[in-house]
Amino acid sequence: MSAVQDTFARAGVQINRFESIAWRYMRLSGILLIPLVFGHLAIMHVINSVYVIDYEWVIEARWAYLGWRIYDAAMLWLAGFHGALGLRHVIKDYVHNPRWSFALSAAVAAFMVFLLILGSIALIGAPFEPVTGVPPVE
Amino acid sequence: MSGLFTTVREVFRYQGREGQVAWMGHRAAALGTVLFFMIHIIDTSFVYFWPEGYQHAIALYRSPLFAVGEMVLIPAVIYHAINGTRIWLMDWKPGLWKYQRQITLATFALTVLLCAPVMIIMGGHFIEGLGLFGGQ
Repeated sequence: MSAVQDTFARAGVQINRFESIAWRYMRLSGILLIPLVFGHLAIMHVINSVYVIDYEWVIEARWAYLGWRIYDAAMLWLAGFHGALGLRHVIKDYVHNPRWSFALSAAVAAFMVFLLILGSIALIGAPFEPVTGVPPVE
Repeated sequence: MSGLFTTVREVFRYQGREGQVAWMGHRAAALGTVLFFMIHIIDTSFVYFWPEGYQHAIALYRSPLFAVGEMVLIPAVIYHAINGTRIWLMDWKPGLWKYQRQITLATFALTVLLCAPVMIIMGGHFIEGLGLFGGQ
């Protein structure tokens, strides 16, 4: 038990487990996301750019390798929860009506779950060789 | 929504100096980044669900409007990362609060320092992408 938890226990204050875990998650995921996102930015925006990236490039240079799919999946899940919890924090700051606050947070959570599933299906399902017949970027 | 109104109004009345600026920047960067994150997951999932749609999305990302967006997004992400590091460092070592002003200013300086070369290189990509000077 940490010193902080000890103090709370002696004062007879119940620690809200969800809030405690959410706080820890923001710190931990934030630290893990820094190298992942900086790597992503370096590869996608500095070394390459949107003028290089297209459908075939993504498959051939990135998703043909399992390592990049795992890298992207780690970023997707870490950032997804980090963003959703952050949005919940912002909603709690600005929306003081408990019903609206809960409804908005629930909507954020539902949309984020949808995005995580969407992204995961794409990462798992995308072919290891580009599909033929896809037109070039105009 | 009165909470939101009050918050926006008080931003200009509360003279929190660099600490408040750091906080506002952190939140603004977060909101911008999470909005782009949501769009970005959808467009990237097109690689599997709708390859033609992915090509359309990339065409959009090559437009000048999104080039400006990229120039805002990348500094936002860099700042959020550096300022986030400052926050957990200062929580971890409370002794650092003695130097909170200097550390916060260092956060801004480090952000500018890191962003400068990235912005120059991205600007180069954009000018190259215009195709006005050959290449491609």
